Amino acid sequence: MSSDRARPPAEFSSEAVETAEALGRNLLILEKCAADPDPEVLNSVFRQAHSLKGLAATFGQKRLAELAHAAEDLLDRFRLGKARVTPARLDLLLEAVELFQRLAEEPGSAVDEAQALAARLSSMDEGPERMGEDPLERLELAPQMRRVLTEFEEHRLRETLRRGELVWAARVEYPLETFDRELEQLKARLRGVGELVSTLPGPVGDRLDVLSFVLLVGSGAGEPGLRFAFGGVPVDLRPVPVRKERRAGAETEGAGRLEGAESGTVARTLRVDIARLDALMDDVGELRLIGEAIRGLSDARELSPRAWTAELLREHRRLVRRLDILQDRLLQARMVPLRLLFDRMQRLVRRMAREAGKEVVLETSGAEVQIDKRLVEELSDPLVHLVRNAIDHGIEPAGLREGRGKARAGRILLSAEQLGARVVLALTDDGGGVDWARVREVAIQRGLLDEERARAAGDRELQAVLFSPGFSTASAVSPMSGRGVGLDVVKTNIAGLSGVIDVESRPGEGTTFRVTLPVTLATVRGLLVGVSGRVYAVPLSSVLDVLAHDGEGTMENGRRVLSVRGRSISVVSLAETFGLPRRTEGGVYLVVVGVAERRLGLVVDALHGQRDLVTQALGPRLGQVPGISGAAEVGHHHTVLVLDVGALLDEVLRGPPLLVAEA
Amino acid sequence: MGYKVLIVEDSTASREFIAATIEQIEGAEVVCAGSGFDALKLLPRFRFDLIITDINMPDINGLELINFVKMNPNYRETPLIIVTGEGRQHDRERGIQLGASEFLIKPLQPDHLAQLVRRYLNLA
Repeated sequence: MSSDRARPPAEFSSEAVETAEALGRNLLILEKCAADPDPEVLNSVFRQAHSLKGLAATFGQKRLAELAHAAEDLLDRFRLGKARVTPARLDLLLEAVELFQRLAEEPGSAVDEAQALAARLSSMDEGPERMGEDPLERLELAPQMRRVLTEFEEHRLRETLRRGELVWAARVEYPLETFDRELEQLKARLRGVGELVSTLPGPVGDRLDVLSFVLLVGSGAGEPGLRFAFGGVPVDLRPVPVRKERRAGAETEGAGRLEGAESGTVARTLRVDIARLDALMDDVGELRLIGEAIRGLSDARELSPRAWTAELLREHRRLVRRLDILQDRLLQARMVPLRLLFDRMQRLVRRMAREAGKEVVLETSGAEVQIDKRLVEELSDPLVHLVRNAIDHGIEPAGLREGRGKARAGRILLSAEQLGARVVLALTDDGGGVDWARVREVAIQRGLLDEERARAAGDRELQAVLFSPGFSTASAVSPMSGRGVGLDVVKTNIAGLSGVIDVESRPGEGTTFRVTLPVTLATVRGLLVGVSGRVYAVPLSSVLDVLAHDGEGTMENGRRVLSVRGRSISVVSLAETFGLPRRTEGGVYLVVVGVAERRLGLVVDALHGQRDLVTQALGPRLGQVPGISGAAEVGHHHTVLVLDVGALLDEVLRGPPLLVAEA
Repeated sequence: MGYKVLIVEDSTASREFIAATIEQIEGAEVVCAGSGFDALKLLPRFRFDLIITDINMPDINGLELINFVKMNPNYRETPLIIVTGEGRQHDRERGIQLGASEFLIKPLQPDHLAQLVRRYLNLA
């Protein structure tokens, strides 16, 4: 090392200039989020000023060191929540950045300016702001965890607790070779879910090839959200207990904070209209009456056995009818508009775009579509993942976009549409798209497809590769503009909701992920009918009547029409509709279905009773079959197809929506 | 075979400065880590006689590194020296409590650093 300190070596200049530039960039990011500063940004600006100071001191650059020291002090106070980020303070810091660059390139210049600015920065200091009680005192952290926390990490934990969020401790083990990549991926997945505050490495026995980590994560998301972020790695995850506050009145204050905070999760509680609850209470009252009637029957000795049985069956029918109504009302009460989820995505996109240093606009449509509350919760994490993928890897940086003739700001469209008993969510970005050729290449490299098959693989097969675990986890570096990381986990999660996901992408134009879900996870009652030896399910909610089928009816405008209970309705043979051989001439039963004012008679061969069904959407290949909304398991791994009554009505009654004519 | 010193410091210039100072000590060899993660990877590959670490680093902090070394039966005996900026008393005190032997405050004085390293390597 040169002992001549007057002229710093080139390595000093270049590192100092680079650090100052990065500091300047981050200060601009900080300016955009000054009201709610991002802790990661705060920490990096602080660290940059800190290294600049150390660097300057090491190379005997006294003026630069002093100025950096003054900036570092102020940034440290920002970071520890002791001073607020204000425009005036940011102006001074940006001024300092310019001076850093001049001083680094030409030591000895701007000496007086540097001194004056350092003094002004120091005068920006203020007394400690009142922090109140230290919430960290209530966090029951093991002493060996507590003592390795830096001052900054303690501050971050305090902030987590003040927001009413939990601190989670997660213990994981990773191989020595890959732990850094694993942790990077974890950190990326945690964005939007929580904040990784501390990473404490520990040994696993005396093994040298494996490390254990205890991670402290601050998060308002629930356990499923966090587990999702760990992407299938075995993890011992538990919340760090917090002692109750002793002060009276403190609780209400805490609760108020929780309500107001951008808690980042869709709440686990549900607001229900009082009128709905009243109706539910009425149903329960009705059930009590039925209960009483059944008890009364046990004493009814005067009845003949036959009359007694008839009476019992009558009460049973009443009971079942009332339970159906109750179930229906509960299902309705569980429905919430997607707006909750969409609003959350708006906030996330702003934050993630800022973190990625990109301009992104999120547009939404269909926020009014209603969906089961539990689905909204479970959908949140996969959707966050897809949005992050779109921002990090899909949308190009503004400069590149301009070069490609696109608007500077990337656009993400999140839309929802209800189609019968299903909701289709689509997330479309106008970014770079998936490089399918590269997917093909990676698939071969990873041994997911052999060369011959990869060459012949069509879109569907390549899609499948994109969602397969071997593809996602194997590459930390983005293969096709980064897509693929964690998509297998997204797919698994969606499948857990009886949903399907597929992707459509055109290079250079963007990517659409489409998630198709049932409207509710709860069971739907269905009538099982036989058609040419096969069994189909008709959702009971749309069944109006079941009759013996007699007579062929008359033909009107190419449709078969039958008079049913004084109304003439169109009739269709399901065997014909699905191209099955007719087993029974003319069919045996007529199942009258209807949605709104539209009616249709379905001719079937057999009735197999009612069942509670959990419907699943069909895979993309079967998704196109008209008249089928999904499949349902009916015990012993027998699967039946569920009729899409809305689509059948459309199909048969094409043209004017109303064809009911009073006879 | 000289004594091996591990330097953990994310600022390149600062790391090079410490390395250059120690390399001038006869019998001392230097291995550099640019982050806490790098240090975790290097630890099992060499037998270090001394570790010098910064506290504020982006992946794991210096305190966590000290804790790791002191908990691990393979590295427990290796002495540690902390390098911190001035004013970071909280972090310095924790480092010493965790088992670090010494602390140094930036800006570093090469003579003082060299003297300390000699002492811990028994080269005085």
